[in-house]
Amino acid sequence: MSTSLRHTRRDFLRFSGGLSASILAVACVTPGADTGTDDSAGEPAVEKEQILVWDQFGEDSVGVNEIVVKFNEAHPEYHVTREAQTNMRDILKTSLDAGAGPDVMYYDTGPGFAGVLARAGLLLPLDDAYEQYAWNERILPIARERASFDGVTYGIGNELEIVGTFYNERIFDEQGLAVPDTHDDFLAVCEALKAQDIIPMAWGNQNKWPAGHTFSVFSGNIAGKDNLAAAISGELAWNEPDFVESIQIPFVDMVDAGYYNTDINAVTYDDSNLLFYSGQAAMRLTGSWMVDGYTNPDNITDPVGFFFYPSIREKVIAPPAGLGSGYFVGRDAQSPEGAFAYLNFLFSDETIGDWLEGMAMIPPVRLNADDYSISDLLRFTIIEIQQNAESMGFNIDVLTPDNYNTMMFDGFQEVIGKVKTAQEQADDLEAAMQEAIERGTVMDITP
Amino acid sequence: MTAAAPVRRGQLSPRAKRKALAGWAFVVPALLIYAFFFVQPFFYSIYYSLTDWNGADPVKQFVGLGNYIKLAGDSLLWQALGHNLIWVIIGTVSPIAIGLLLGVLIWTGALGRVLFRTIYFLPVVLSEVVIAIIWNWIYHPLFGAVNQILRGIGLDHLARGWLGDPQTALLALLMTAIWSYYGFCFVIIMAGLQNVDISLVEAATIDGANGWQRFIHVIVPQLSHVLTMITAFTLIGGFNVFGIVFVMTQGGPGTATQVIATYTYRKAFQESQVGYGAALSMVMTLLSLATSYIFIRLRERQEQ
Repeated sequence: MSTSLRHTRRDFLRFSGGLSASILAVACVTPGADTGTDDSAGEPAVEKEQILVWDQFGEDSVGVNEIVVKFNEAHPEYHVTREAQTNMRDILKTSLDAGAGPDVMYYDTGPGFAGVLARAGLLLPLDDAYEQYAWNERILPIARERASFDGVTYGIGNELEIVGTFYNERIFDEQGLAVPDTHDDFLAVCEALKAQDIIPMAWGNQNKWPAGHTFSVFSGNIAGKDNLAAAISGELAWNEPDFVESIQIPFVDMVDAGYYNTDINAVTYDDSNLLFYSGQAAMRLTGSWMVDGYTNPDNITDPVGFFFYPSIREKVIAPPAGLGSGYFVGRDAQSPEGAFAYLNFLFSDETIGDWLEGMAMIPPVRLNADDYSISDLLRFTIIEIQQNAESMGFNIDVLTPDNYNTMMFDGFQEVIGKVKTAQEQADDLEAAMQEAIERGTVMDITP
Repeated sequence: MTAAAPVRRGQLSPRAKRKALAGWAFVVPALLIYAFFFVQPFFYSIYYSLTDWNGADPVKQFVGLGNYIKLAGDSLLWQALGHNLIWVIIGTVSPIAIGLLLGVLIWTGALGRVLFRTIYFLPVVLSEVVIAIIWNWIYHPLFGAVNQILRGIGLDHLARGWLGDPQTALLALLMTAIWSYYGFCFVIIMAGLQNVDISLVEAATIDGANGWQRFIHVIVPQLSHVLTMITAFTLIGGFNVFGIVFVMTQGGPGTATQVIATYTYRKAFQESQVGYGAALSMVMTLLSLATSYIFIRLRERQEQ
């Protein structure tokens, strides 16, 4: 007798129903991987307050993961879960608005980013927390100022950065070159390097944003700190002659003179670093976030030095300095107290070493660089920031509205590609700023 | 023995009702998912397009047709639209022509049909992001294959940063898109060729038609339904193109490769103008629908 292998629709529905019920039943009884409770040593389970943190440091960031582990050990009443997000700008607004966002987030401090969240009421004010934890005594004022909107503080800015010129000391020694004191000296150095078939400066602008730092350097040195602050605040026009010249020199004249690698708009930021690592290029105009890469012998064995871009026409230099991103607390944070405690821990004595030694990032606190085992280049950077804080300029793109930034990034590619003149780009920047003023997204950074 | 209850005309028998219910049971879940993930967001997008909203603010300021009026004067939109039109024309004609040519060549008896079909179809199984990364390397200005080959054969002057030059960036992206898509056209056309009536081809041969005449007057007309379907599909894709452009150039250099979808993303997510971005997405939807509808109607009229 043979058994029929035919199945009726009823069999199929019965099987599907049974399978669904089984899955449901299993789902109901299977415990979660991490309940966030402490039931060690037979003690009654203690429910921990959960803190979800979103940041942009990368999944495997040893330094930040170490800080999270230390916090969870030191604060048994809380449990921080860290998630690295690569597309924070796309998902954060929606997540917070839906009440499904993180408790603590590491996000851009500009008016077009954290400013939008703050004005929409999606962030918790931190003024009371600053008092409660006496952050004003420990944390630098700039970290609070950059995370304040309409007179209310919403976060703590982090990652102190400066932008300047990194150079290959071996190449400079071999070519008999000295660190330039003036813009003309700098051009002479470029000319000498070019004559030896060495790329004077590596520059990759396919990612668009690196041009923003170049513009920050030249507008700070040509227009000056106060005028730059006024322009960022919408009080001075971006098509003033000083700003036009700040576009003309690096994006037109120095390109035409052949002081960069070819195909700037097709080379990525990482590839331009490769040109510098390999010794094909002698200099890089970029930020101190690259100190870790430039002191890593796996990348480059030549010693790397640093100088601020020199004075142009004997004007006082105002090298860009600022903050990378900042920590903020969501309006719907399940445990605001826990979130504040985490922020407090992030910039405490216990963690400064993790930022400096583990990640080569400068936290926004008063510190003595000699207390830490860090590279000479990072130590130099810290000392420069501490000694010249008052005269430093600005990283434009972290302070300007988003529509201005897109005009800046697209426009500079067009200037480099000869699609647009420096004057046209300056006019477009001013038009973008006027639009931002109308939309109320401009940050006032004037004293 | 009882007589079965009479079934009135227009009324379903219990068995038919059970069948209908079972049918609904299978359709409704998919319909709900479709309504939730497609219909609802579509109507929300229409609503957002009538507001000035930054994506975060609890208040969505109603501006009526303000965003659409602003669109008319937005030079970047017109530039992006121009790029989409170039994409639609070249990006539709080229892969279909290549697919058709290869399909007919192999259909007429080339050896290793399965091997060729597999090779040509391979790019289709790769994700857009993977394709974009691969072609980024191929176009790389410092060590990309294209420039290496050009330098290797003494055409150094033609080597350039293909994706960084406003003159070549859009065409370079199109080459990538064509490479990634012609395999799909090829496979569909190959399937269509299985239904071509060989006796008509043979009759045309006996009547003295040469290869080109047989191809144009006998084979292509029998593939018209397949070609219509592929063309409509490609036209819609041409207006919606996003992944390759976003990964490879982000619309750059400058705005030289900006298309409507990347411009929409930029406005909605990078500049926090969600209302305006929604209006842009509506324009994109209307263009796709209108173009496909017109094309299909024209084809139908031709057939009649």
